[in-house]
Order: sequence, then C-alpha cells, then structure tokens
Amino acid sequence: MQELKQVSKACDACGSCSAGDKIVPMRRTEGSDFLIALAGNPNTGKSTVFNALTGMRQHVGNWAGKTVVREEGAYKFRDKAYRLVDLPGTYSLLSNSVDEEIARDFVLFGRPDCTVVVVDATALERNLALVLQILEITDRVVVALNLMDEAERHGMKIDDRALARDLGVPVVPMSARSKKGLLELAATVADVVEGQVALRPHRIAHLDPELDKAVVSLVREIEREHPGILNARWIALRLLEGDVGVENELRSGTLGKPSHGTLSLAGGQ
Amino acid sequence: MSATQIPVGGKARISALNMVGQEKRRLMDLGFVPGAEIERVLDAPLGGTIAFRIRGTVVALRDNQTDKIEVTPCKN
Repeated sequence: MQELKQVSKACDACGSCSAGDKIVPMRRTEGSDFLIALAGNPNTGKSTVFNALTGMRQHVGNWAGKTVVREEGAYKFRDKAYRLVDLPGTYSLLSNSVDEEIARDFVLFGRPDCTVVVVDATALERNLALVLQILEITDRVVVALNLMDEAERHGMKIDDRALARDLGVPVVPMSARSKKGLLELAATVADVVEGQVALRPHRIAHLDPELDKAVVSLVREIEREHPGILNARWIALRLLEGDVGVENELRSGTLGKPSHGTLSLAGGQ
Repeated sequence: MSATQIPVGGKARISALNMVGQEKRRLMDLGFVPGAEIERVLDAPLGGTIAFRIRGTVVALRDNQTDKIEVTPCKN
C-alpha cells in the first residue's frame, strides 16, 4: 500500500504521460480556451463521448429543427478549459437535411480549434467517408475510434497505428460507454490544439487539371465577391457539382452566417 | 443489370449510378459508390422497398432508386 501511494504521488508530479491527467467537467462554457467540435456518423457514440467528457446527461437527437438548443458543454484538462459542441450525426458534409446542415456549417464555418470525428470501429469503411471529407477542409482533426469493445466482440482487429499513418492525423481507440480511452482522447486533443502533433491530413488528389483550373478561377471569384469567406475551395467544388443549396446560400449571403443554423458561437458568447 | 435483378441473398458489385444531383450524392454518402459490393438482404412484404447490406450496414431503398443502380453479379 505504502509503495502504491508513492507511485501515484510521483505520477501526479510528473507531466510526461497522461496517467496523472484528469478530465474535470465544467458547468460554464464561457471563457473557454478552445472550441472543440464533435462530429461523426449517426449512432457512433458522439453523445456518449460528449457526456463522458462534460459530465452532462444530454440525450441524443434534440436537433429536430432549426431553432434548436445545441448541445454544448465544457471540461477542464491540463489547466485549459475546453468548450465542446456535440453536432448531429451526419454521413456527409454534402447533404441537405437540416440537422446535417448544422453539422456541416459548424465544421466549415464555426472555426473549431479541433474537430473530433467519432467513428464506429465496427463499420469503419462507411465511417471513413466523412473523415476524408473533414480532412479536406481542416488539418486539426482527431479520429476517435469508438466502439472498440464492440469490434473486439465481433472478432475484429483494427490497426489504429496504420490508420493514423494513412490518415495523417491522430487516431484514438476507445470505448466511451465503458469510459475507456477518454483520457487519451483529451490528451490527444490537447496536443493538437497546442500544436504538439505534426498533422499531415490525407487529401484526395484531383487528377483532372481542367477541374483544378475551374476550381482556382472560381475560388478567385468567390473570394472577390465575399472577402474573408472561409473554405472557398470547398464552396467552389460544391458549385461545380451543382449543389443548389450552397449556391442559394452563397447568393443570399447566408452561407455560414450566424442567422443560418447555430453559428452564433463562432466568436464566443 | 439493375440492382432490382439481384436475387434475395445474392451479391453484386455497383458499376454505375444512373442518376444526378442530390439523389446521387445521398446514395454515395451512404456508401453506394461504383466498386462497392451490395447484398440483397430482404424485401419488404408488400414490395416497393429492398434492403441492401453495404459496408456492414443495412440500407433500404425504394425500387425507383434501386432501378437506377447498375450492377455486375459477384462470383461467390
């Protein structure tokens, strides 16, 4: 017993591993140091991760309309306050349903310091489509490989290191339901927002030079019409695809604006 | 052939999606992309809808969408 106590004391004093770290749920979300978005396909355990980090007991799925109260919480980790936004589940950043638009707009225009993409380890192939889409628009991504317990039960083995290497961003295996991997997730997010990790996000190469030419000239026009707009390249690709929703929002100037969806938190309260 | 012609329990590989815009986008988001393998899992009792397994998830589609999914049969 005596020895054990000494070990834990030594752990508290040393900052070199995550063993001495603690996630402290916070009541208030104001004045936080970092803004973190939680994205992912439906039913991957985003809200379980959210609740585990913030100590809240939010129920999944209260995003049914546009004037909905967003799920937001906060936690403290290594003396920094993190504000966490739980987004509705989405298969893609390209779709048009209201809840998916909320998720899309926040990732694109909400200026999160880091986006955690929660993926279902048992359906990795399907989940990775969204990961790739998010990697197209931001470097600061952490993949939370959730439901690892479920995957193991199905006899699946996932090489998370190879996955992290191929994606170029950190991958954290976890089982949020049994609170496994939470400290590792918080530590990885901390490392990313503090710039402690080298991020080399995998980007799909557009092989068609004609397409590239069109994108470049469209980006120039978008930026001239809308100075300071975020993710002009992403918008250009949507326009070329014929995405009517994005086109209308760009015309009316509501794309990613606070009036649209839930983006009032971009600059704090 | 069209995905409606896959026998129940049979598998096929998607070769093309004969649709445009949002409808195509949505199916691709769900994993229905050329090269992906789909399995016809079951049919709705009164017809009109077919459930396919794609990348480990079962997704039900209406026949008017399934019609436009071009597939080639798998060997196994």
